[in-house]
Amino acid sequence: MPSAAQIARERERVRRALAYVQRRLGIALDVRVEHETRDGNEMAIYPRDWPREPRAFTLDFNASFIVDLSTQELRENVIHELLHALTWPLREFAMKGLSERAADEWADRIEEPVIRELTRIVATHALGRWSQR
Amino acid sequence: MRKRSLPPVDTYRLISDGIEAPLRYGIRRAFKHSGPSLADEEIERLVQAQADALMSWFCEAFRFPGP
Repeated sequence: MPSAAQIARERERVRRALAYVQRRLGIALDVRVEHETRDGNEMAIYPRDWPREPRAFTLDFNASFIVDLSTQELRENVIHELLHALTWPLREFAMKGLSERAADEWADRIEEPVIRELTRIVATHALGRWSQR
Repeated sequence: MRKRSLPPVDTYRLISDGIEAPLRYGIRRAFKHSGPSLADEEIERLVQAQADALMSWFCEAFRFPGP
């Protein structure tokens, strides 16, 4: 379990990475950064009040998982999450009416590979390279 | 040694030449995944509608530079 000081340090790194990427790409989303201790992901992004506030998102990070990431890797992770936010309307449309199992399958087999490909393209444009993690 | 500075990102070009085609591919796969009941022409119509909606949303989600 990371200490409060470690969480604060990682939160600041995520905020700086987010600000950098949003500035580079001209992304106009309102993204709050929150520490989250759930197991599983290094980061995850969720809308705060969809569809009433379509530009408001929360970016969760897990300090234990991201502490070893370089600045480049952290920025790539942020780009990946922002691409999930930017394609959220598609996710909402695609998952409408699907069972939980079918929605999970859609996310794993279709959404995630597409977002990974987009991350490669956008990271190369915004950061000059892609570390292919 | 001087730090290498990156050229500005051309958001229009990034979307039109970089991310639009993979997005359309993903949308098409999503419709094909949703079941075999849709005809190819219907899928193409839905892909176009979803891609148009996403491009319209990008107008709000990105700050495009002025002329």
